Amino acid sequence: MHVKVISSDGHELILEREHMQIIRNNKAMLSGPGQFAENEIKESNFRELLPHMLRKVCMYFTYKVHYTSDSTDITKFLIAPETALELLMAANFQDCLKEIIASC
Amino acid sequence: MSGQAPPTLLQLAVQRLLRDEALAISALKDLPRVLFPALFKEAFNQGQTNILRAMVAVWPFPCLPVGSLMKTPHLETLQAVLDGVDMLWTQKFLPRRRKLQVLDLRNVHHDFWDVWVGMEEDGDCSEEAVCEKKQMAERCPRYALRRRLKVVANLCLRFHLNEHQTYLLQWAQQRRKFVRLCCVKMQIWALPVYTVRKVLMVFQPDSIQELELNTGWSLSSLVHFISYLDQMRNLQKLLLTRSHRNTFKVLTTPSDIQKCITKFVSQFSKLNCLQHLSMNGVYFSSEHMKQLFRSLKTPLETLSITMCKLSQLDLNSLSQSKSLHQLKHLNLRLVKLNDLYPVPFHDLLKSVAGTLQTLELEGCWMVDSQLITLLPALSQCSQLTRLSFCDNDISMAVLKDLLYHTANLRQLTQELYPAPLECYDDRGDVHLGRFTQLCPELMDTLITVRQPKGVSFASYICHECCQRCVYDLEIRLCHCQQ
Repeated sequence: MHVKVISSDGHELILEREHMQIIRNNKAMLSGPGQFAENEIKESNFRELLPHMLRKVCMYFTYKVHYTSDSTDITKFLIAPETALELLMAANFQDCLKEIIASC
Repeated sequence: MSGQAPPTLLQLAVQRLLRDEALAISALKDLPRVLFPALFKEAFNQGQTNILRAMVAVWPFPCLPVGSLMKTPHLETLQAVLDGVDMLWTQKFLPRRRKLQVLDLRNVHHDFWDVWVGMEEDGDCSEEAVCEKKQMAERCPRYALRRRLKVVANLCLRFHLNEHQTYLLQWAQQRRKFVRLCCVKMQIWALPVYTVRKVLMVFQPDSIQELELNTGWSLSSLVHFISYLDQMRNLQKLLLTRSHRNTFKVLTTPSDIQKCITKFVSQFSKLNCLQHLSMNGVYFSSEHMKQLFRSLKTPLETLSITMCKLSQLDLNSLSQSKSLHQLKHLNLRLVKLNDLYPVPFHDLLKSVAGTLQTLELEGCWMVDSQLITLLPALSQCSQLTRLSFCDNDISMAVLKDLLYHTANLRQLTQELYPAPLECYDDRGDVHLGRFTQLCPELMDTLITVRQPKGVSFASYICHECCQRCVYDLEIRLCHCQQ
């Protein structure tokens, strides 16, 4: 099962379902009324996020899932200084994304 | 092997931003207000004073409760915060209109910082939760927009001002046109009165709600202080503790003493908000005590008079004073009552039966006949939650009577009774056999009338080992008896 996330300019990213389960309240989307057919992709739009930010947020989801389920020492999640502010705003906005996904 | 969860994206981004000071400061003009608390808290924890200074200058909320972050006083951090406040008036270009109204240096409003930390993956992002969080940020003690910024601090002054306090006072003194320095709770320990005067000249005396005086001041010092007491119009709680034996008797005539105390006591008529009064080891003449209770304009919730001797006239004044008829807490610990006629005290208990929640009569040297007199009134004090009779000379029979009279006191959660007189031998030492027999018997008596929640029977403190023998469903003996 995969999820397609679409940024502000229509750029698409596809994630494995397990990564999206990091986000709470998206169960309504992933297991909402009616079962999805195998391999069906569910879309959700993140209109507030630029593509590079959306990519970084998704990279973080992957990083978090990896180290949540793995007991190895946690490596650094690299953030370029010039993107720190944008990512900070995206990180804050990430909480609000749960509502959007829940409403899908 | 790591057992830790990875940091949140918010934490990672905040830490990355703060690693570059110039970048962090330049980012403030574009930073959404909702992110200010998280960034400020992390910068504070890392001691990044330049960033703190810049953030205070553009703080987007009415209140900045920085005191709750200050676990220990740190002068450099305080200076940075106050420098930021200075920038509020010196900035030529204000990216935002000044929002900050109150700088709170007290250790309160912890939830302000926790609310914003909760904006993570596990946070509740329902519409109601987000709305509530926004309201919390705006919620501050209600202050209308004022020209002057309000800086709120509690002060504990011990022996001398520390560098933190000195800096704050000097800073506020130099900015009196722009800053109102308010102190909600002030504690003064053995500080020279001229230092206290300097402090009170900077603070707004009418901001003080709680004042604790532990001093060995001379009479002239007290006279100097009196003029400030009458300006503390919002004082709710006053604690006076004597630290010197001759507080009011140093090198002055009895007539001077009387005049001074009369003036001091008369100030109580101006304290219209006073609710809690404690006097520990502080005693005035009976006439002055009477005057004091007559001066009180509003009913007290708490009266604590400890470590002194009351006269019969004092006890009469207590029972007749209307300002004491709504007491919730009465503490007469270590006040010798043994040679006093107890009926006025019974009348006092009767008048507060509907409100009294705690009654402390520990170490009052009461005897059987006095306690018996109090029992009918005590049995009506149905709101009592805490009752202490330790260190009084009460026999087994009267203790049983007391316990029967507590049948209706169903709110009690903490009861402390003395071990009966029969537990002691001729030398005044605890007789172990009798103690282990009689205290359980008393417990059984109590259980026949109600189910107690927290009860103990305790002996006097042992002179040798300074411990008590205690029975509270199990026996704990003092070191000497073990």
